[in-house]
Parts: sequence; C-alpha cells; structure tokens
Amino acid sequence: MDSLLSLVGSIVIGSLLLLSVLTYQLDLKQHSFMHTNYLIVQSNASGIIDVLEEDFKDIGSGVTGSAFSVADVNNMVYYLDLDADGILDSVRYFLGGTNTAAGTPNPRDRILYRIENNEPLVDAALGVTDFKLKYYDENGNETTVLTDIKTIEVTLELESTLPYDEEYATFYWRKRITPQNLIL
Amino acid sequence: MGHRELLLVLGAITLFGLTRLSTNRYMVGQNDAVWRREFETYALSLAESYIEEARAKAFFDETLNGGAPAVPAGFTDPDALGPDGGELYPNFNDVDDFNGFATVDSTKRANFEVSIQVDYVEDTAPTVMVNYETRFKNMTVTVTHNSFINVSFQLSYVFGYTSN
Repeated sequence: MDSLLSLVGSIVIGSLLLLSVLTYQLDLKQHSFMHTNYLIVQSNASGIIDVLEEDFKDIGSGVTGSAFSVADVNNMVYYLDLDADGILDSVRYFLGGTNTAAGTPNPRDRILYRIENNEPLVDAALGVTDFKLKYYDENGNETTVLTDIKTIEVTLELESTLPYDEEYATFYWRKRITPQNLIL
Repeated sequence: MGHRELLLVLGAITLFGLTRLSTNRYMVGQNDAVWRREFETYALSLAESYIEEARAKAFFDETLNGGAPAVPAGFTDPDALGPDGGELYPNFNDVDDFNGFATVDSTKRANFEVSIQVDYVEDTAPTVMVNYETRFKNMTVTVTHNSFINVSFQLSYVFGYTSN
C-alpha cells in the first residue's frame, strides 16, 4: 500500500514538473519570437522614419512656385532639386494596396513606395500597414490648397510580416514636419 | 518515497522555480525595453512636432502694433507672452502664442502630456532666459508619460527674429 502511494505521488509530481517545463519552454519560444518581431518592426520603422524625415525637410528646395503637385491622404508628389544641379526632380510617396505585399503572411501589410522622377517601382515589404498624410497652412488649419501647405503631418503604422500564434508586433509613429523652403 | 528522494524532489522544484522566476524577470525587462524605445521615439517626435508647427509661425504678431515694431523694444512684453485675446490652438499666429500651452496627446498606445513654455533669451547666450525683449525666443516643449512606462522629454528650440 505504501509503495503504491509512493508510485502515484511520484507520477503526479513528475507530471506537474514535466508540465511546468513544457509551459516554460513555450513561454520562452513565444517571448523570443515576439521580441525578435518587435525588434525587426522597430528597425524597419527607424529606417523608414529616417528616410521620411530626411526627404520631407528638403521639400521645395530650388522651387519657385508650388512645391506640390499632389497632396492626398496617402499619395503625395512634391518637387525639389535633389542633387543641386539646377534641375527640379519629383518625388512621389504612395501606399500600395494590401495585394502589393501578398507574399507575406500578414493580410494587412502593404508596400510604401518612394519614386524619384517616375523611375520603376521597387518592392520591399517592410510591414507598413498605414501611411497617412495631413497638410496644414501657416495658421495651423488643415488645407488641401497646394500653395498653402506649410506643415505636413505623417502617421506611420507598421506590423510584423510574420505572426506568432496570430499575434503581430506593432509600431505607431506620428510627426509634423515644416520644410524650411516652404516658410521662406 | 524516502526522505532522501523527497529532499531531491524539493530541491529540483526549488531550482526550477528560481530559474523560471529569473527568466520571467528577464523577459519583463526585455518587453519594457521594447516599449520604452517606441514610447521615447514617439515622445521625441511629438515634442519636435510642436516645434515644427511653431516654425511656420511669425516671430512676432505685427498686427498688434499695426506694423513693423521697433526691434526688440516693440516686441511683446515678456509678461504678455501667450495667446492674444480670442486666439485658440491651432490658430496661433506667432511663436509666443504657445507659451503656457498644455494638452494631452492621445494615440492608440497611450496618452502623452504636453506642456510648452516660451521665454526671451539673451542675444549672446541662448540658454539664459531673460525678462526683457530680445531678438530670440526659446521654446521648451515637455512631453511626459507617467503610467506603465515612465517617459519624460524636454526639447528646446531658439527662434530668431529676421526682418523681411
């Protein structure tokens, strides 16, 4: 009787320990995957933000008339003299549809395109799920009049391209930028 | 089960428990660092946004004195820095209208408290606040987030007067 009790006790304690070890392993796996996902998303976001800030601060350099030809919510075309050669260049930013990043498991991610002088599109799925632009005049009011734009507000949302257990790492950023050439 | 085996089992459970606790602490620390990085990036961008917004404004509201002022004596009195009668954000028309401005910026993630102070600064020492009119105004934007992860940023920018 005594040895039977010992056997049952050992099996119960052993099973509990084994269960704890398995849960521990699953937790570690989930944390490791999600942490890596967050780092990738933040790294992608950091790269995109650097390009956006660097680009937008120079909008309108060398331009005498309106610096914009299109200023929509997720489509903008502006002019500047990119290489300081006296010839105006055009840069277009726009957000593709969800089908543009169909190769990734994330159904919401898209491609954010940046096109210089109508060059061909280059795809890079970095997990952008939203890219919104708002335009403000010098009084701080939202405007759609191209010649009145002084400040641009950019909203950027990213998600990881791969999920862990249907969960995606996310990133949110918003900033207003007043290009120097628009306030001269 | 003898005493020896029982002690061994207890030892194993204790060791495993300690390992698990230490790993949990490590994971919480890593999650904290990830969130902190995003919150700090956002807080910094938020502070920069208000400065960028103010850059589109005039240094001095010339409509107040009916024309170009005497520089710098004709600028707004230091005690009167702030929005003029009827001016409400975002319809500010000069840099010092932001003085005393405070708001809460809400995002999908969290709420950030923003407060702004504008002062005149010494012409030759832009970090020294003065209580008289000069050609330079310093804007200090403070952004804080106090729950879950504590983030606090203070960003300053000096605006200079240029006559057209």
